Amino acid sequence: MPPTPPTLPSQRVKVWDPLVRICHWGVAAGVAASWWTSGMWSGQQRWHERVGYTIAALIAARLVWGLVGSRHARLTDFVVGPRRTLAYARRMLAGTEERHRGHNPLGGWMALALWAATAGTCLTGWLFTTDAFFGIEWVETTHKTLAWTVVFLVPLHVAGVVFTSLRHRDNLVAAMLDGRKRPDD
Amino acid sequence: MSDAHEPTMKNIRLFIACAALGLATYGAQAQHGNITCAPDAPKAEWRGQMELQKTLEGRGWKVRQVKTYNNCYEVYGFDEKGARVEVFFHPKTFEKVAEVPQG
Repeated sequence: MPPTPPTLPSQRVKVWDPLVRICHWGVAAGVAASWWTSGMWSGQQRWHERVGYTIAALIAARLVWGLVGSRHARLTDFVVGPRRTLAYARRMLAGTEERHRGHNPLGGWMALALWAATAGTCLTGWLFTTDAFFGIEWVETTHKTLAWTVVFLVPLHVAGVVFTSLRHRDNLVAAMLDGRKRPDD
Repeated sequence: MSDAHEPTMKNIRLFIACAALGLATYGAQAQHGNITCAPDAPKAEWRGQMELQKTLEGRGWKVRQVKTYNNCYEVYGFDEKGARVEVFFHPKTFEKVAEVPQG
């Protein structure tokens, strides 16, 4: 039998719609910019706040899209319960896990974790600009803890992307850029 | 061999150039992290945080939080006009050293 020819670019199928991709890279850039403008670095308070509101708006849009968006954008497409997630993780460790066109179960939970930590950082950051919560220590501590949680999650997210790309011969970074993946085997 | 490695070397040089530019920009920024008030004064000579708070309250401020940041006292609160302020003070002279503009 002749070897399978490589997938032509035109054969790749649409997976991530434009809103998913804009939200993903927008939030990614926003997280980087919010660190840069934070008090730890350049301390550009006004830009820090603007960036934070932009991130919050992107996540809000993405969550609404998670209810009404295209197939793989929907939360119901990739949020699965703990039992199925654990079963997937076990298959992954055994090297027998199936390829998912959208998020795999672990990727889905990573998306939720990143959104939760990022949105929480935005919320506590906004609280700190209100007269009621400005200067309150626990608000500041929570803001910083959540921001560091994002910093902790991002390398895990990237590791998952690299691992899954290698395991299933996908380029998930390219897929998030042009929205397309190789069709199901 | 050199042909195959040429693009990689180009990328590495490009990366180094970008990193250098980034670092230069970073160095040019006014950073909170760089705010310094009394680098040479031993902490034993610092006046107390409570004293700073009382001084500011005497001016009509409402103080929410005072903490040490680098070698400064960082104060969060409301000034005599009721505006939110985040100000860095010299821990010995209580002079205002820097202020974070509030959005």
